[in-house]
Amino acid sequence: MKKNSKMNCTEIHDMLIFYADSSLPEGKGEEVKLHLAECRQCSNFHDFLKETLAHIEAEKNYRSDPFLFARIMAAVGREKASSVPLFSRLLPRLAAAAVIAVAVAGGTGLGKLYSGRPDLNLLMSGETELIDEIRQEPLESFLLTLNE
Amino acid sequence: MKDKNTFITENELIAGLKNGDQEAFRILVERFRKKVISTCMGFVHSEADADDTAQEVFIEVFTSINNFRGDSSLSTWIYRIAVNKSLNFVRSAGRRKLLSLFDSLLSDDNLSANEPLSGRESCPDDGLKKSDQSRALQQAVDRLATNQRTAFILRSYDDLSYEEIAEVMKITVSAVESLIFRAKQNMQKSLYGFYKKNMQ
Repeated sequence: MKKNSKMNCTEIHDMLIFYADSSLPEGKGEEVKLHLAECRQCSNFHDFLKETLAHIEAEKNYRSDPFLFARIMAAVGREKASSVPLFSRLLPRLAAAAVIAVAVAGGTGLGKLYSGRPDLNLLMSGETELIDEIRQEPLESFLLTLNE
Repeated sequence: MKDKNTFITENELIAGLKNGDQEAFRILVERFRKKVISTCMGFVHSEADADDTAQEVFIEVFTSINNFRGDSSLSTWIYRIAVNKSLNFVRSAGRRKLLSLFDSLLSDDNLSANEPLSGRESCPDDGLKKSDQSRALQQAVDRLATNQRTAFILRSYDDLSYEEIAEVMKITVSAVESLIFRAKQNMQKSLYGFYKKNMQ
């Protein structure tokens, strides 16, 4: 029995979510309040609505990752790296390769400069040291040393 | 000792960001993280996903601050990015869910995603009831049309005024009122369906 309530359940029902989040105008709110005091069915659904909408507060109050800023900066760094053109990304590696090549070539050159061994390339050519040595010690002087 | 965060004005913050000042960016993240996370939570309903989406929001802010012309306030601009990133996340998650649903139909051994909550083993445990209510709320929010959902989330999760929502959504205040009114009506319908099925 709803003695004091002027509105029926269907009318109240449409207003319950607004009543639950306190957004009904004052006059309407009073009527709903009166109805809920007398109607168990509407009152139960209203309680359910209030409980369910309270979950919004729980979702809102989530404490986010304390390392969010660090994560963002790391991601920004990755993003920046991936946005650099391919040539620019390869440039340090190419420079390192060039330095290594120069160092190897320089080392080889210096090695040749200070090595006592004859150059094999020169040995293979027509103007070898051996011919010069024969010229310095002709066949006659060689035979003379044998007779002694 | 008072934090620099308290004193720096919005214009100083923007100038610092445009100069690539990392400290200005840290202040911005501290100042807006709760707001951005709340917005993202309203759309994605998962703490891990909200963190990931918030991360994307701040990366976007950092990388496109030079496109910010100052036509609106910094917070309005950030809210817009947060809404767009969250909607993109929800869309791509929807596609992934559809694919996994297709897979589960092929494998024929999983629960249907549309199975009523009461269809699972009923348990009198209050914790379960609460988590079911939380899921019912999330589903009711997710079923709203995009503009109703956006207005409802900015109002309920971020506590923005109708004027602020109008600015973020680039619509009139009366349009915002209408969207929120219809959003709440639709939410009530969805929640009543759940209540009849599971709570009565």
